[in-house]
Amino acid sequence: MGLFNPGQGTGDPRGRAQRLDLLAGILGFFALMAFVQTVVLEVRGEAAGFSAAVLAVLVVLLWLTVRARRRLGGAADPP
Amino acid sequence: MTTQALPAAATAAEEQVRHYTFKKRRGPVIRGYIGLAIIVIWGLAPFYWMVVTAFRDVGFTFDTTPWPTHVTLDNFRTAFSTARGNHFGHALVNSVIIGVVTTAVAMLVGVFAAYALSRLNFPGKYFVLGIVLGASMFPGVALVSPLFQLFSSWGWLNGYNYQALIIPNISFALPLTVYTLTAFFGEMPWELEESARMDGCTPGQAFRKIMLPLAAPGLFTTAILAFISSWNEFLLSSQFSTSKTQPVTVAIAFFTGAQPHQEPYTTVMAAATIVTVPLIIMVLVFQRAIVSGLTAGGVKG
Repeated sequence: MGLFNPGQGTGDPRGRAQRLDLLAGILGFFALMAFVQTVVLEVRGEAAGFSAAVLAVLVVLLWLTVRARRRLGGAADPP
Repeated sequence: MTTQALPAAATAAEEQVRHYTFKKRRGPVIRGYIGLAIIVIWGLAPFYWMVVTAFRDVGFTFDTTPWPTHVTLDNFRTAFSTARGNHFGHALVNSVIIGVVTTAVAMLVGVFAAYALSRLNFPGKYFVLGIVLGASMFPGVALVSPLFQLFSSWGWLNGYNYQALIIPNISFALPLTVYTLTAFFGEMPWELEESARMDGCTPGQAFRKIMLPLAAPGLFTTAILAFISSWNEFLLSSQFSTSKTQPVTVAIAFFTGAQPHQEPYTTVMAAATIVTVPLIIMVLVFQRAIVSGLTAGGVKG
């Protein structure tokens, strides 16, 4: 347990929600980076297929994480 | 007589128990020490070899004798000599400037961010922590090409443009600082801050006068980590530094030998030894400040 692995192994929905928030932050950061790269490549007229594929994978993973988090409701929100 | 015999018997029994316990635990303890010795030797062997080679005459560079032989200080003189176009002394100053500024900025911003992240409860707190972790995972090599184009267009890749090295270094030192300090602040007893507030401190005063001095060990440790990461940085520095802003890591890589295509290993080892010394001094100096258990006993119920 700890700030970076909240509620590990406790089965606590609040800990699970916090872990999902953490994961969403990491995926969101990399998705943003992939988005910026894809846009830059598209605007410059360079091959952006691979970059777009990476972005698509990251967006899908982020969506799954956000969906799982929303199912838990406001469990991780401050009291 | 019985009152004297009883403590003596008890002491003998205690001694017997202690002896039995030690005999029982001797095997694991010895195995533990052997394991520690292997780890220490594994970690220190490259440094030992670096120092041995640094003091070895250039004619015996590839001598494999495990202890110092043909000892000379010529390699250190050559490292600081500018006769072959090396500017090691200037590079040392550059590294100190870059390291100190990077550490200062990262700590200044990191302390407030980490305090807010560990102390305040707000929606999306863990999402922000995730972004910080994501930033610390970002591969530095991916930044080289875009930053090179950007800095080149801004004219930062010539002259004394230290910001071309400091800004990318901060982007890597800051996430490290924030998450190290967040974990450290998370372990601190918040009752102390609450007590300060009860005594009339504002939140800012409680932070500045109570929490910050108590967090000194964590702050110094984090500052050392940030400084070391900046001091050892090579990838970005090798691309964004100029002959005037070159840090030691790059200067050592560009050392030239007496002959063309000759790698001056002994000089490189001497320079590497000199580069390691400030880090050791810094850790020794700050060790006094890193007083373990500073907060122990701070809260008494």
